[in-house]
Amino acid sequence: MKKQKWVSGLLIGVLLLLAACSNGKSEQSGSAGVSSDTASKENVTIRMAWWGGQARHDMMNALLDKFEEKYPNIKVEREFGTENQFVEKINTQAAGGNTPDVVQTSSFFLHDFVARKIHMDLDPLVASGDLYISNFSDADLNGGKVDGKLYMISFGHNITGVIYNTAIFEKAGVALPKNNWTWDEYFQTAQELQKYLGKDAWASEDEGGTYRGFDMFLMQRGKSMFNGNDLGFEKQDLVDWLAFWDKMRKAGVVPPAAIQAEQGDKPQEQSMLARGKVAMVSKSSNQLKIFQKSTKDNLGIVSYPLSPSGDQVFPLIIAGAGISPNSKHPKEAAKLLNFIVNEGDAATIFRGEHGPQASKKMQDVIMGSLGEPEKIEYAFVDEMLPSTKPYPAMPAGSTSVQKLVLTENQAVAFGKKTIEQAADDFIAQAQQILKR
Amino acid sequence: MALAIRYKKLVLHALIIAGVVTMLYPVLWMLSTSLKPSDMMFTDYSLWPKKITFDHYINGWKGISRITFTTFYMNSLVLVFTAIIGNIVSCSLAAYAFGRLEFKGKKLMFSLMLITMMIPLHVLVIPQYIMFNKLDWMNTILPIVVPKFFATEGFFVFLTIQFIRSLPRELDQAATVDGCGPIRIYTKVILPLIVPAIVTTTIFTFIWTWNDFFSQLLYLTGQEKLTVTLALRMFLDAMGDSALGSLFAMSFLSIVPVFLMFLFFQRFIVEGIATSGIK
Amino acid sequence: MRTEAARRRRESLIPYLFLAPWLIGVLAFSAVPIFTSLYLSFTNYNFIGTPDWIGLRNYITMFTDDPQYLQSLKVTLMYVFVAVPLELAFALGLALLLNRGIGGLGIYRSLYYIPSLIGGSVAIAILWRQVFGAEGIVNKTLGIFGIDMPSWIGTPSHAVWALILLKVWQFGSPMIIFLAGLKQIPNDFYEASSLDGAGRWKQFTHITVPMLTPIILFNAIMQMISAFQAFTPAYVISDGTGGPVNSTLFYTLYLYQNGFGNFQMGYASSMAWVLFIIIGIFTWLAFKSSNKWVHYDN
Repeated sequence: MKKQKWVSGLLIGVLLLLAACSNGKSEQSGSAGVSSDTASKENVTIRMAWWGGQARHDMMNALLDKFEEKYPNIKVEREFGTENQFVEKINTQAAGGNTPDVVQTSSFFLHDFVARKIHMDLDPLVASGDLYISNFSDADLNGGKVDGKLYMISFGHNITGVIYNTAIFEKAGVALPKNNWTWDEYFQTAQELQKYLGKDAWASEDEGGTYRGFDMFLMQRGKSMFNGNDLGFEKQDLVDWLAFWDKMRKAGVVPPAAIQAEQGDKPQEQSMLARGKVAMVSKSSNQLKIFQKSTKDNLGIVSYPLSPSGDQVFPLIIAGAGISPNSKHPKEAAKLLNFIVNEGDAATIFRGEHGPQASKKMQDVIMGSLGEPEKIEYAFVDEMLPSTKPYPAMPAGSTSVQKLVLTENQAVAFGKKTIEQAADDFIAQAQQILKR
Repeated sequence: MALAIRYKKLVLHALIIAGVVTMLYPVLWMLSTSLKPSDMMFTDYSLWPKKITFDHYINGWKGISRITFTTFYMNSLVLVFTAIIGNIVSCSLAAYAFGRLEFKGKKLMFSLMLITMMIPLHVLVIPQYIMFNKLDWMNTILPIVVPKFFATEGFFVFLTIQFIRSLPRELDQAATVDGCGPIRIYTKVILPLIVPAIVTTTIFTFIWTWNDFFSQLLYLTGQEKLTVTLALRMFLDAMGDSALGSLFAMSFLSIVPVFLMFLFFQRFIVEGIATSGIK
Repeated sequence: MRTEAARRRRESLIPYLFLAPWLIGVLAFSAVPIFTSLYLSFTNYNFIGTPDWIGLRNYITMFTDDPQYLQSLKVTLMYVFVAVPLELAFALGLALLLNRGIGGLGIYRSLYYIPSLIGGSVAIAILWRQVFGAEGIVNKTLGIFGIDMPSWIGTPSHAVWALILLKVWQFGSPMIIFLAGLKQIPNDFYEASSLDGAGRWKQFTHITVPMLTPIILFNAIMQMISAFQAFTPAYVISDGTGGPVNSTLFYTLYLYQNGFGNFQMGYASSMAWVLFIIIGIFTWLAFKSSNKWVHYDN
């Protein structure tokens, strides 16, 4: 009896200790508010995290070096990884209250990151003049907002299109695709290409597992993947989508399941497109130049296939960065963002990595020196811009649901499930995740 | 007859050696691939590279965008050595109490220790994660090493207890007669005698902490804090198959410290496994 | 008199002084967490908000409404109950071979132990991805014999076998334990049975195996427990996804995804407890069945 009391006393003691520590911490983070303007000349270190492949890492390092050179009192610690790895890591860090001060983000993550408190409301920093966004285009500005508040400073905008290898088209004697082509034309082109490609290369990657593609497919039907906290489409939509890619696989114009599965989440440098293993892949327009660096063949870009009867609409993707709410140096973090989006020195290094910049002035800085791939990219974005709309909001847990598209498409590809079964399973599991 | 026996023995040796080669083939292939020039990697599948180059080691060591493997190795070594010190100190203290001293509740606590050895990590890891997060220990080695200073690895306590029990009691009785208290007996008599147990603890802590992935993945997130294990995974994602040579070079290097430990302390390892039956 | 009593009391505290680090450790890092996780398993704790008590809902969801969970359970059970028996069979076979007094025991034992030493590391998981890839040396070797195989890592029906082989590959450590056990069997037993005219096979089935049963039990339990908790190979080989088509979605990997990917820590805690219970049940079954087949000396 006595012993029990003693043990439970200790237990309570340990718990109290923990509680005390946690209190201490929340006070600390509370005091580091935005308004404190003390640390402007002190030496501070901020952390920035981004995703990408080797080429982007090198560019970002050069960019941040330049920033440190101009603002010698601020040191920037760098964290990076592939996109999947990045998201996983940022989520873990956020849960631990250890988010980097500046975190790259995009329309795909914005809502989730705001919900997870990875991004803070930037309006006060705009009001105090630390962030200058008056010359931003409306599309870039609005794309950074959630519930009317600004959370993301745009680094540039891009549109998902089909990046293709012109050399393969030429050798196969297939006409280059034109913007606003249809799913039927896409399928036909793939078949024609395949006749030339033979057995060890394919017209396209198997994109039945890409939720971006599926989402665009849905938008053409006036729907969207999510509607509030629920799914925004019917089972038949998913069945049609999976069936299209099944048709592609059966026609042999995309890689067999095992090869596609092994491809996984590889950076541009190692993609099948860069290695000449596929002729087309759908990606964000800004990646054209990154892919181009890894292949000798000239690349082009064309709009994502459309249904002739459906809406002619493409979501505009904004890539940018936000500042963490538990940053101890929000002013310095803002300074870094401001540098990237508003200073000529930065623009010449950054060179519209994520697509045409939000500020027209910065676009002009690099316009004269654009290379061929960037010119193609900018022309594509400018042409398609009128038919874009902002990316739809996504609920918490959306990233897990997005992964399900990949799993269920794989299940069909490997013949593990019928299309009907896969669609049923998807909907059951997605609803279960969104409900949890 | 003698010839037949010798012949049989020879066959046995051949069989066993063939087994060894098959088992170790993948590792040898990794080593040999890491030494081949890139253009020969997929054309020359032989184990002996026709041409040897150390380029992959030089390139691989440069790490990922400026953070070199020097940093990663330093991080791993600091982590491992702190863990070793923690385990040696805390486990030998507890083992001495259990092995030699008499106190109330000893039986109960001993069984408590055996029970903690059985609890799977995953049952504890979520509350621990929440706790370490509240302590603001994220992205430090503290969540990994601090528990080691509190003898949480019951296995090492157990191992050391078994060892202490095998020591003749006359030794500490003699020391008691000389007027030594338990503290002096621990430092003057027991500690010097349990060196083999300490060595075993050291080796296994080294190998396990070096190879551990799960807790490092959870707690170490900053680029500058990455250990060799984490850096390798990062390297795999950033470079993938296009830099297979460097990837293999760094992978191979990462198992070298474990190899060296094994080579020098083989006896302790084999005995440690045989007597305590652990992995 | 009083000082003597005080001295005694002080001395009786000394053991606790030695024990203090361990005691604090047990409380802070085992006792408190284990009850906390039990509590969390009945909540919907998501790391940001406060935990709400939801009773058995997590446990019910798991078994009735989460096909991925059932899949992870299936994959793990298959992994454990295929890999562990195979591993032990190899371990025992090699131990018997090495124990025949042919010399070189020390060096062979060490060489066979190397895989156990490094098998759990990221480096080996990376190697495995290559070895069992579409163009890996396994397929290259099989190709020589005219067997055409797809990428093991990329094919759902094959991927888990790459992981099973990785576990079997590490048979060195149970082998060393078997070797130690074989040394314990007194030679008189064999000599006596030889005099009775028992052949090799009869000696094996009547002496070696029965005498080794306690060690077989021990090895089986230890390897089973560790196999249930395997994480690194599945995580590295599948890039953290458990793919293709969840074919390598180990229990711990799915737990990790829920707990530290989605931060559904309540759900992950219930998963951890179910794993704990499953391991407990199988360990208990192993012990329970042991009076039927394990031979105890005394």
